[in-house]
Amino acid sequence: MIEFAGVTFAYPSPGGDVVALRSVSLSVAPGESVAVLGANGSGKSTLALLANGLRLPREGSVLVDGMDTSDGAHVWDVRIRVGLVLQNPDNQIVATTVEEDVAFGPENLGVEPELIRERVARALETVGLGGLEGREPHHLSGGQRQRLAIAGALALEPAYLVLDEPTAMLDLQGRADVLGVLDTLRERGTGILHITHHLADAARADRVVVLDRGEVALSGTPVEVFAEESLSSLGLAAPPIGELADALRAAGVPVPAAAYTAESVVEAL
Amino acid sequence: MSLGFSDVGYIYGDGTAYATRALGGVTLELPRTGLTLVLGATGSGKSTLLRLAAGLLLPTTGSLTYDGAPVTGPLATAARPVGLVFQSPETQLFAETVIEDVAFAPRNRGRAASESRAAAERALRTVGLDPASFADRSPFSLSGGEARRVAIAGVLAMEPATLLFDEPTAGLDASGRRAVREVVASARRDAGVVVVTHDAEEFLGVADRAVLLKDGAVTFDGPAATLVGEPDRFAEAGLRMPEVLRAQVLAREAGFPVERFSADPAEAAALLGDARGASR
Ligand SMILES: Nc1ncnc2c1ncn2[C@@H]1O[C@H](COP(=O)(O)OP(=O)(O)OP(=O)(O)O)[C@@H](O)[C@H]1O
Ligand SMILES: Nc1ncnc2c1ncn2[C@@H]1O[C@H](COP(=O)(O)OP(=O)(O)OP(=O)(O)O)[C@@H](O)[C@H]1O
Ligand SMILES: [Mg+2]
Ligand SMILES: [Mg+2]
Repeated sequence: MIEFAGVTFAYPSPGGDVVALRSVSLSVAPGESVAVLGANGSGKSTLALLANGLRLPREGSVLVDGMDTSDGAHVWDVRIRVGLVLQNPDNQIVATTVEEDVAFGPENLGVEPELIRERVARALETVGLGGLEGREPHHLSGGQRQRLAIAGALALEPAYLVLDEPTAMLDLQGRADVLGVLDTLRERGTGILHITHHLADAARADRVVVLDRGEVALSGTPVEVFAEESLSSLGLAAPPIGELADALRAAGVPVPAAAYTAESVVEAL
Repeated sequence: MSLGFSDVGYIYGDGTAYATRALGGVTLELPRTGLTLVLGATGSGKSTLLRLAAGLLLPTTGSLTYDGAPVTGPLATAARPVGLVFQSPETQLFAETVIEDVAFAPRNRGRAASESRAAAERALRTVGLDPASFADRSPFSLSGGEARRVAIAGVLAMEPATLLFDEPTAGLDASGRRAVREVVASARRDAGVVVVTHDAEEFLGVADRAVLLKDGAVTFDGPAATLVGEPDRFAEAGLRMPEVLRAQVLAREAGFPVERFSADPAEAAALLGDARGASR
């Protein structure tokens, strides 16, 4: 379990501290997926950095399987358990070829070379980068770099995966593929914290947490959270397919709430 | 016509062992005003197309003209400036403070400091950032969406005659996406605007024209309305259809007499409602 208990965090800044998180409590259990939504600047990426100890809370604590991230003795164990896909994939590139970049994590963990090769091949295949093994990461397109960052985290095979807007630069098919991968991992017991601006993607999670200016404003199942009146004032809006569903519902077609797929709309017809 | 691509090809690392063909045989004409959407799968050549249009890359084969003259270098300082908002905004920000970053273009064009600052503050407000909170922040200590907004503001402050946006809504929240849609919808009245996006749904309703790229080649170039009416074009370009269109296509496949397709959610709902009524 990843547990945030009363976490407050602030960035020191010349004009005074920027408080990014205030008394945040939430958890992610093994095999559970939690989506995090919130306006720009609401603290989502900060939350991600705290989840694997890259940043430490000013107040409160973050526990990973019972280990306090602020306890220096656990730094390594926490990093192994919590894989992180950063919002900007460029900040994650460490090697000069695609293949070495994905191998870097497992190598650091001391995984056997034979196994590393397997994992790297599998991860690259999963994200659709097979064939680009020898390419230089900085010479990839934006979406290809984002897929590379995801492959790097997959190859670590972590107990928990924290993904900060992992599909922001992907085409719709790529986005659907990544969501499929996350579903599979969850079924295998991986705990997932998925930061996104897409309500349709969050609708697939077990639970949704909405951040507002560093505080947890809403939390619950997708159906509960998406029914909240306050959604739009929190900077969230239903995707166009949701608007379509709402309009149909208003016209008397029994479309279920949080119906953010074409299938669920047609089903209701 | 402002930008003209004539049989343009681009190869990264041409002549080296790492040569990668990004575009081939692209012929396009971008008008002086109006909104053109460029859609395509990951790696299809969209960002390369925009870098060429901004004069940041020069064609490997074929030729490119701007206002009738051959393009030989960056167009940011042309008489009719071309502004490009990069896919990764971080690569675009450079100054010590947000306000200096956004005021750079007007300063560079010789505008007075106070006038430049006013223009920059206006641009920041347009993208939903309050100058009072953001002007003096470092552009490198922002959240992802805040950084994209600053990058967009910096290009708006250039007052470009041609505006190129590479994934302008990626990483933006609902209000940020709305702001970008409004910027684009108003800019296209007197500027040529090109938007590269995976978020076709966000712009299909306001676009004049759509271009689909697949593996560096154009597979569709026509009115956005035509693309909406022929959604098979998406699959042809290796793309998944936007969800609103997919709902209408699935409904028709399921036997509902869907008369025509619409990219607008409200109109699509009306069309689906009618189809449901007719099939009862
Ligand atoms: N390095 C930093 N120094 C100072 N302030 C920062 C830094 N990084 C982020 N902030 C500020 O902290 C707050 C939270 O930022 P964070 O990146 O967590 O937001 P976010 O929810 O991920 O936003 P986005 O959707 O735009 O990515 C914002 O107000 C931001 O400006
Ligand atoms: N600097 C570079 N050096 C070598 N190859 C590159 C470089 N930039 C892009 N490429 C390659 O050129 C092709 C087109 O890339 P481009 O960035 O134009 O794609 P894109 O359509 O913008 O993709 P995305 O949606 O992922 O941003 C890809 O195969 C990519 O790997
Ligand atoms: Mg963020
Ligand atoms: Mg691109």
